[in-house]
Amino acid sequence: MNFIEKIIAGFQAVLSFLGNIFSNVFDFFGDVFQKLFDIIAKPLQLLFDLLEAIFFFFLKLFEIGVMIIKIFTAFFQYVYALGQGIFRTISSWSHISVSKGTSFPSASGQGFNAVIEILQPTGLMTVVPIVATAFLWLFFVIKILGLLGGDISVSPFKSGGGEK
Amino acid sequence: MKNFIISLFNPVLTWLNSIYTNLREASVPAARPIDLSQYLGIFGYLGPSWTTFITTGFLLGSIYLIVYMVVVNRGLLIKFKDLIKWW
Repeated sequence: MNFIEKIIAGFQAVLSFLGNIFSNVFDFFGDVFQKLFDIIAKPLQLLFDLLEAIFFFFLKLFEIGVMIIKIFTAFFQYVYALGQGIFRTISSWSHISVSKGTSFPSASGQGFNAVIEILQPTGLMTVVPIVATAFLWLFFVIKILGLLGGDISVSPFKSGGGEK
Repeated sequence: MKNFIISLFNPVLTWLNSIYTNLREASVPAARPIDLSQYLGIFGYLGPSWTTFITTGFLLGSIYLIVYMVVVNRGLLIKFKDLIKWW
């Protein structure tokens, strides 16, 4: 019994000795690493700041690129809207309505009515516009035919026939 | 450093942003057609015959303009056709 206890005590002593050694070694290395980190921390911080600044710079550049692309899309939308507006205006000419009653001030309205009543029997309000409409049709028919024909040039209101 | 970069880029960014918003706002009124009917009410006084003359003139003018656009862009149409054929 006594012998075994002695052996155990010896083992414990050896183990504690080894433990002391290892703890000292670890403390030593811990101190070394701590010092190392303390030395390195400052330049690492600087490097990190520099990298962050560079990446932030590129982020801003990227934002500007995105903005320019957005401006281009908005510009194309604007051009498309402009073309759409022109096309809608032209197509709205095909169903125009004049009969929207404008009310003149009383005196000028009476004057207009008087003039129109005087002009009524002369045919200026009935016959002349119908003839003018017929000429308009003729003019546009010739114009559109000339347009579709390409190099055919028609001049409807010149003295027709002989020359060209 | 970050503040310096922000101060460097922010004027450009705000300028581009204002261009973008202005363009976005301008494209809405540009798409609206001009209603000529609102300006031709005076000719209602001249009676139905002159009214038909005016409306016929505008109708034929619009047809002429559309045909003119098609004829002028004939080369474009042919190019498009060739492109499809090549494809």
